[in-house]
Amino acid sequence: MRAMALLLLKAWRESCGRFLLGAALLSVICVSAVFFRASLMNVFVPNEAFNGDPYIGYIYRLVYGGPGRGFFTILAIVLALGGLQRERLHRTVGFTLALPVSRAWLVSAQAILGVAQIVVLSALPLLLLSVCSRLAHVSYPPDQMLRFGLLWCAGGIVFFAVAFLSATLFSSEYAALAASFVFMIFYPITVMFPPLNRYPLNIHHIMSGLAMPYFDAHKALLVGALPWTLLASMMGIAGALFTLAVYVTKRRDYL
Amino acid sequence: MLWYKMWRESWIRFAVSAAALLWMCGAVVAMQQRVRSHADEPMSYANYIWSAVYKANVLDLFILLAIVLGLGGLLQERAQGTAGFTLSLPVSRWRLVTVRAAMGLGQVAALALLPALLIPLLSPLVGEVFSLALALQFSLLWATCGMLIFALAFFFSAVLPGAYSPAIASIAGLLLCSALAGLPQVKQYPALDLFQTIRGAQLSLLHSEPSLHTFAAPLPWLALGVYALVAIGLVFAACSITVTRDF
Repeated sequence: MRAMALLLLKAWRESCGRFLLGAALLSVICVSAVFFRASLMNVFVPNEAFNGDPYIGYIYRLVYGGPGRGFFTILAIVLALGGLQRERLHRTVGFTLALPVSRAWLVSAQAILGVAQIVVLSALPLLLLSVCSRLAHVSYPPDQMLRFGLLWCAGGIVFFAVAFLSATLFSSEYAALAASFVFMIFYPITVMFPPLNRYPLNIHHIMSGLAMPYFDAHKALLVGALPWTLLASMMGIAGALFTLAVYVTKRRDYL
Repeated sequence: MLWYKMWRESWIRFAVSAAALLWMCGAVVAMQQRVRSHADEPMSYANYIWSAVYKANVLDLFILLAIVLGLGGLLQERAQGTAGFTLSLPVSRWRLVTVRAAMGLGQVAALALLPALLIPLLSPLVGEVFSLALALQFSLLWATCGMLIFALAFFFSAVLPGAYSPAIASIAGLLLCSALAGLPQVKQYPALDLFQTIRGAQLSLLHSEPSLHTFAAPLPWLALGVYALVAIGLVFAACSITVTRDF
């Protein structure tokens, strides 16, 4: 366990810069959304007639279904990059591989820390919107934030897993980033083709609720039960991608 | 040789980007019948191409790829331990940075040109026509706005250490631009809205045109000029920072 703790510390030291920068910028989006709502509402909900509370529609448009979610998705991808391929470029891979732990542990530590970072980032809007909305004397339903947080977390972990595998496969760190971005955009188009278009497979839509049976677009609210089977399947796919990344790492020659 | 070095450093991401853009443009053309038949309202082929390529998914991809092409540089080479080698080359730092910027800008322009080459070429295969002149107009918008996006990532790469922090900062910067452009005080100057410009919103005749035969709209030259100047300014700032930095 001590070895895993040290590996987690190593992984944290490698990714803390981008995590903290990303968390800070996501926080800016959430805090600005509340305190500059007078100006931003004109931008994000211009003449929009939501049936429900306009503030709820506005927060959805800006954070949970808009730029905030897009930024979170990109953060999930960026956090996954790095690992042994990048260390090879930095010529530190020899040191890391010489540590008295298996490659599977090395990769697992990076994956575990990344998933924890995704969980924290997906909970950030819940925390910030709750506090800031209270300070600004407006309210957004906490249960909605919790549900969106869960959807973000599940979707974010899948995108993280894709980028994680990509970082394992590509020797160039920027090529891995480009390939992950391509997946992020290419994937929603692919699921428009039959027979995939019969199933709710668009992770972007799953995260934002758009065109999903559990989302009321007129009120910008999640309704009914969350799609637990779908979320569990997404976790299963992410797990399979992590396993594949471990398998590839075990067999690769880094020297 | 310097050009070759810069090419070797970036060719994989450029190749991945070009392949992805070509594939996505091809997919958009190939599935046009299916998508248009399921559209809520009747949609002309030109409008469909604009919606799918120049306004939405493919544009988003182009923006992200322009950012990826802007990453890297001496600050990142320092982490890899190769900055010493690069700096010992018998060329000035100024030249190192400008050649890398020129290579990147060329790649962004080449990526912007790909839809214009592919879509008019593939359209007859699905029984449709998409004007090459119109496609080139959009390519010019993409190339110029893409230059600015590239320059933003290039600038952050010269300022922020780490391989990925510049990407995060660039995306945040673009989100900020997008939010600011929607403010009433800024909205009266449409030239300042980078995203509307790159989408060709000023070429709005497209919306009501069932065919492209009568299409004609002036390009937003003023906006494009401003963006090109800002891009050059950002590259210049990145050069100045690199020249004075202790690596």
